Amino acid sequence: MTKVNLNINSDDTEIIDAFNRGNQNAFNLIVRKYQERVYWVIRKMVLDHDDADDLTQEVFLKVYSSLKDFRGESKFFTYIYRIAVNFSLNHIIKTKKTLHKTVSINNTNVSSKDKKADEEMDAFERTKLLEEAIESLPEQQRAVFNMRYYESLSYEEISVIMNKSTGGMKANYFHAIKNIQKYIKRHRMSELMEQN
Amino acid sequence: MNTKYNIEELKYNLPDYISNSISDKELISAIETELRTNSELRGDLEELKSTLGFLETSKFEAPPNNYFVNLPVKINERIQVIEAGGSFLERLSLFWKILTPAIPVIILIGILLFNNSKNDTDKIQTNTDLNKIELQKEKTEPIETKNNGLKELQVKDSKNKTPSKEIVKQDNDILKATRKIQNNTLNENQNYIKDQNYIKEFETVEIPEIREQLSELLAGNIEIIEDSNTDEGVDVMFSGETDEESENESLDDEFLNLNLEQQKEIIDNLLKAQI
Repeated sequence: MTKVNLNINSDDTEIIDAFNRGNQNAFNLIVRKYQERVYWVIRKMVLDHDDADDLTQEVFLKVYSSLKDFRGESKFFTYIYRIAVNFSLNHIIKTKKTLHKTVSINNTNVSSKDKKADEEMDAFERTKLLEEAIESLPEQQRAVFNMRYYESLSYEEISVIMNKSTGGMKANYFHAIKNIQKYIKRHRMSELMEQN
Repeated sequence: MNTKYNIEELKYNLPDYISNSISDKELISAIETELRTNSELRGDLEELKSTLGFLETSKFEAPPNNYFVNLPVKINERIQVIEAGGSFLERLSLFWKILTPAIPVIILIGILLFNNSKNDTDKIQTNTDLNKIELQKEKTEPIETKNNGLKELQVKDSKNKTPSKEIVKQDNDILKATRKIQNNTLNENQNYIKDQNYIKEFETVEIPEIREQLSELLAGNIEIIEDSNTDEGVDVMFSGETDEESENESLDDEFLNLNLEQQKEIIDNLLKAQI
């Protein structure tokens, strides 16, 4: 058996083959290679860091237990992505969060008198508003929006992950942006009414 | 309007048109043509541009420092736990996963076994009752046989036409005594069966005082039955008065001629009188 020097830039097929031959280090490479992307896919779906952390670990445990069954019919990342999206959707459905997420804030950066701090606060408010808007989306729209907007996946890849038609994914993405826009508009209107 | 693409398709491709990610030139051309004439589509385009612009300026908060350094370590730790057969709690949960569906089955088996043993006890009780009645029947049978023998003897004597007065008197005494024993035993049997019915009735009625009284009465009856079963009892019967016996005999005959319901009624009255 020839020994292959694997690293994080090695081809997925090589890493998976090495893992299936009993090389435990190969799995560590998979984790290191995809952990950030998986984390952010989940984080943008569930919004909360702790939930994203738990789910990211669960996804890699699932990958570990089912890697021997991976046949290479789709790209390996698509395979991991599908697990991540399904876990996130299940989590969203299970928790059915009604309360809006609160975003942790570093108090040292907040000072109303400080111009820089005002900018930070504004950024915080925008992020909060965006999270709320994403949270208000139906599960499928949320998943498609994240995959298309943040991960720049093609509609073909998204349709494979979601097991839906490409046209349907395009429609989901369009309606997701429209819904985010509606949410932001409503929020701004209510703010204006409060000020008056 | 372009015939190749309908308005919905053009609308759904607007986000990609904004981000310049459409490679199909024909599609780009179709969108631009439609935008010139369709104000609704132009409105959608402006809204989408505004929203995507907002999204670009909004960033998610980054995870804690070194998070991605520690994550592989945490995942490996969890894998090790799983490969070691799971934690104690996980194994315990597995135990409950198996036990939980088994509990109703165990309970069901327990109920079935309990019912079977209860039925067996009932059967034994019924058999005991039947045995008692059978035993009493058996006791009357030899007397009956003896009685038949005497009858045969009487017939023989009458045929010989040489009846001995003493023998006839003795035989008559024996015959009467036998009939009395038969009748008494029959009454006792009927009383016994009746008592058993009473027990069942009173058990359903649930009147403690009456049940207690009945129990006392039954205890008395059992004693009587036991006494009459002894040889001493039989001897006493043999030495009874003839007139009284004949009176009893006629009463017994009368009683036996009655139907079951009437017999029951009389027995009930007698029992009540005893209480």
